[in-house]
Amino acid sequence: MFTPGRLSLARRRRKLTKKGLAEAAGFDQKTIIRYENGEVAPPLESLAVLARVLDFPGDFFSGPEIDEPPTEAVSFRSLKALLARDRDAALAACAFAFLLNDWVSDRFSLPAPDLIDFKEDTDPETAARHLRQKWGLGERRVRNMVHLLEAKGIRVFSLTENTRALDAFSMWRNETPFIFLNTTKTAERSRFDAAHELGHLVLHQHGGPNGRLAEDQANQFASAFLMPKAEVQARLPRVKFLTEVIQAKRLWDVSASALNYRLHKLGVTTDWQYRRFCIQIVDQFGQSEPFGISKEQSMLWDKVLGYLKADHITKHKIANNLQLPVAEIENLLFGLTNMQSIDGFGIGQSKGRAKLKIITN
Amino acid sequence: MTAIIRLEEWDVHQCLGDFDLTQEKLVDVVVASATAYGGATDNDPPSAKGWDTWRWGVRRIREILRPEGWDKDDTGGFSTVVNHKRRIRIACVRTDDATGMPGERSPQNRLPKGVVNERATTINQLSLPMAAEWPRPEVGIDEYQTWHLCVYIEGDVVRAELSRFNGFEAGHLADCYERIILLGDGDWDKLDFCGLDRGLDDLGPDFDVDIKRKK
Repeated sequence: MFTPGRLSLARRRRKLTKKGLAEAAGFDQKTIIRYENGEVAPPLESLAVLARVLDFPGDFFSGPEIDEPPTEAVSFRSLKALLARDRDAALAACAFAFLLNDWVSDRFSLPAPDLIDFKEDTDPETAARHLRQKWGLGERRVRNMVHLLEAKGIRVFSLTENTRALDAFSMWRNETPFIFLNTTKTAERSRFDAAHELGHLVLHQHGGPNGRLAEDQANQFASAFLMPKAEVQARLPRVKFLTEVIQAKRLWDVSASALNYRLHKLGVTTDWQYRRFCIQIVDQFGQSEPFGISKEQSMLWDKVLGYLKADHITKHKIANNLQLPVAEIENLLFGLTNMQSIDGFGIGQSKGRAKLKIITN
Repeated sequence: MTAIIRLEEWDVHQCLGDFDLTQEKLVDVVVASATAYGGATDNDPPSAKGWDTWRWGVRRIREILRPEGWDKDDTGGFSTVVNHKRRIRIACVRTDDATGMPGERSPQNRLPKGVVNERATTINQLSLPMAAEWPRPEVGIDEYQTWHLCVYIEGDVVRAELSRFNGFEAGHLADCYERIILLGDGDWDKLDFCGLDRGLDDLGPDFDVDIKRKK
């Protein structure tokens, strides 16, 4: 039985308009509208054409309705800069993540959420400190943000969207928090993005401020969470040169820019120093990160995929089970784990079908 | 003439100790120069890098040494710090890629230097054999040993040494009597500028993600 919502979802995932899909499939636009509205089900031959054009398995279009995240439930960093088609494609990927999460949750007991639901007016600096205390971090460095989030019940997935405007986003689905990270950014940037989204999850679970204010609060939270005030002030009571910032950033595995910003906010550096360091960072390092760290990977997915491998369950089997293209599974875990760890069979096939694009800055 | 090259840590430490200096203090000056070098933008005039490197080096060495009893001296536009007790002066100069490399070639300044610098450098020759018979320079500068803090910066490569030159040729420092290597090849990359490397071993706690199969 044809499920209209699935056709719409697959189309949005491929960043196509109805008109664009109609043209690609050689149909009339009205036909696509009627299919998506559920006025009429496409005949088998038409469905086969749509499946081919959208690069989705034919079975996908006859599955049950998929739980999609509402746009307003998602914290997008720069909504204005984000094209609607990029946003919709990311939300479609998010729906597939729900599918995958449900499939895994049916087979494994995963960590339950262990977050604090802060009041709306909580200062981000205070929230970061309290969450650190609750999680027993004190003033210590966060060794691996992805491990920490997963251990505290947050599901972390990858975003491979080819857009600069989409760094990360987060949402609550029922009682489960989700974070989507653009794993093609630098490791330092990903850590900060992860902490930023954690800020949204604990500060804005029930709405609260929107737009710039919410983003500023999440940035303040991330800054305070990764670079605790007391420790920064103890290690860097004064700073004279950028080289000190570059050296010290390794203490917290953050970017030079993030530490520069934090030092300024804490009053360690003057306005003049902050601006000078900003210029120097761009001049000396451009888009690259000095003393760059390795990308963080998922422990949850490593373990899950390890168990599945023992059961001879490959990513193709998972994809078949979910009626999804293998590439969608790969996208969701890209950079978080080595997919080949479960790809006992058909690696070549999957490589041929994957449509990943690495963004090089 | 082959320069005496001080390369070993104990030797460097001992020589600098004779001037009430330490390697850390001079490297601090090099850090200031290197930071200033990196601060020049594409909109700055081409000479900005060299000027900033020198200017911040001079400022920093004075910031560090004046509280310890050294004086600043700008006679004839030759900016130095002077230690009257030890009878030495130190000037900052940006030099070429021979800097910090213990080969036969000595560092050379990139831009020709002025008459006072030449005069001060010539005074160094007074300690050489037969020097008493040589003509004395005319410019009025006290007869202290002049050392140059030579800094080479090119991209990510930074090397430095404290050098005492024998002569001057066409505005360029020529031949060294003695070279104390402060930052040799690759040393810059290993620097722990402010003791900030302490604590890097503490990676912070890792968290186990507890997963169990459902039956």
